[in-house]
Amino acid sequence: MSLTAGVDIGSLTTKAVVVRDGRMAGAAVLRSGVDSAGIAEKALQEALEQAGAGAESLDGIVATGYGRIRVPFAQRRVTEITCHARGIYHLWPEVRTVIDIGGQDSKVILLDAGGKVRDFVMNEKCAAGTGRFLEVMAGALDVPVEEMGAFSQQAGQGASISSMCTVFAESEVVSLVAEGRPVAEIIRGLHNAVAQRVVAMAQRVGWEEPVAMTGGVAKNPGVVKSLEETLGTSIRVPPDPQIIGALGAALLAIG
Amino acid sequence: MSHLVGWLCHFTPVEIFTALGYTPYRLLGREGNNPRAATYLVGNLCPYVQSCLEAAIKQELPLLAGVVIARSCNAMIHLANVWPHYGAGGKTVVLDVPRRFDEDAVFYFSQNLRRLAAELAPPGEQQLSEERLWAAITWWEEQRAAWRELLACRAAGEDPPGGKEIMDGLARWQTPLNPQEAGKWETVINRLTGQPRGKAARRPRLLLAGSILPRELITMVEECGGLSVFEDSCNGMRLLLAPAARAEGDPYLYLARLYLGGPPCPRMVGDREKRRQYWAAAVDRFRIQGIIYHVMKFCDAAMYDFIALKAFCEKKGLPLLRLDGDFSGGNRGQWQTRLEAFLEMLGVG
Repeated sequence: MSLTAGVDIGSLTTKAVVVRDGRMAGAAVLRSGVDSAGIAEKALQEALEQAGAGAESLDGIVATGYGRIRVPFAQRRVTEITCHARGIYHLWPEVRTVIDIGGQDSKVILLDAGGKVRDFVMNEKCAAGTGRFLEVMAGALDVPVEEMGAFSQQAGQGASISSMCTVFAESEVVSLVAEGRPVAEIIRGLHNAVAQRVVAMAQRVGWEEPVAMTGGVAKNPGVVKSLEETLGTSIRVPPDPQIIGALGAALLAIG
Repeated sequence: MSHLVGWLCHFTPVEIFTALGYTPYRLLGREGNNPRAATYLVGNLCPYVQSCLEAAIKQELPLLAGVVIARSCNAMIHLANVWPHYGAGGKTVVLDVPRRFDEDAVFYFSQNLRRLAAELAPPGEQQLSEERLWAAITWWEEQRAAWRELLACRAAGEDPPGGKEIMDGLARWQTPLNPQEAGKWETVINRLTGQPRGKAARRPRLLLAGSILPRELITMVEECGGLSVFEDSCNGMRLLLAPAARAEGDPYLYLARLYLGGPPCPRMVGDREKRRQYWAAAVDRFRIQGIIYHVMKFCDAAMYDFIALKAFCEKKGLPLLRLDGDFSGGNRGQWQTRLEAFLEMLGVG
């Protein structure tokens, strides 16, 4: 029997997954904070409790994500690019493109038939096309970020958002609100803007079908729909897309 | 009076400086922000060029008798415009460099070099004799040959000097503060040859390319487990690799052919095929397993060059990573994940 764990410290959330004999046995998602190591430990503890195991029985721990260097109890550190690829390969080995949109960055990862990373592209030093962008816009619209997806699906069309700079887009949103444009249309417009940004990256790297999406933003069905429309293909979203990096890390810890 | 003459672009024939009794001192830029230079240069201009002006305004450069600015790209043209007003003291001599390599270009460039020698000559100095220029050419060729010998070890060796050591050595070699220091070039190269290493085993052999390669990037690549064995950049090995075949009777024609005929840089728009051949030869000879291309912000030549390199790598099945940077020394956070993921692709970690 093997028991391994993966810890993924992102800019907004910290995720932990415990894998027993190659199958997920427990998972936890906590809000990230300044005490990265403490939160990582707490997330791991929660995931272990779900798995009904103790930390002493773990055969290996891999840390990933933005805060991977801040997990002192991990034996290895692997980038989230490799981990998301591994996690998706575990779920759907036939997937060739992974779109991962997290809190502070977005990535498009190409996989080969063996699940190895063939190429990837990440967003520039800018919040455009990330979860943070949507959070700021949700704040400007006074809508909870987790409700943006449902809101956008009420709109027949999206408002045109021409600027992808978070600062400029926010003032554009404020102007649209002042013009009386329905909030649902503005949100759909924002989702379309994120999708256009990400699809441009996907085209740069030469995306291939089938496509899957991971990361916290994949929980927003409005963004997924906009991405599907812009790409012209369907996108597979795992039941809990936020934990795929941690799942991949736990699988890589098997050795 | 200083005997140092500053230079920037690798199309600058330093042999002329030596023949005139000067010591060539390369302006390699500085890390950090460039608030003073931003007063005189627009913000969307090569950060390396901005940093050279910043260093001059802040008096961080040694005393220079003059600076030769090769107008080889748009940013250099802007620098040549402002340097006489805000740069270091001494003469500012501007050198036009053709963008192609053919007989017309060689002749044009040779005439520019003759003019450069005349403009740079110290006051009251007689015309530079061909004998003195040939002696300087021989002296520099001896140095480049020693470098090439070291680089040949990198191509063949299982345990070659890493990119950081080579780039640091190149920087020391190009910035002597006096003629005595310049004369000790063998010490710089021997120090690199004799350094104990033993860390190359199983590290992926990489080609690092770009307009300017920041020290920060090479350091990070090697910290993360890669090994840079070939640096194709303005501040890299290009200036060492020109084929030296002395068929010319006229030293200026010789120098023009030597500098224009060397490895083409991204600005040599007419030499795309030659550039592809240059990459192919480097990949084969240095057994390159992956390429990292540094695109300096606002360097259009590098951006177009990257597109050509991408096509080359796709054809060869060679992994390629693009990293954008601003020469500030503060790009680590932006590069870390990309670099580590790229090295994981190549089997590191």
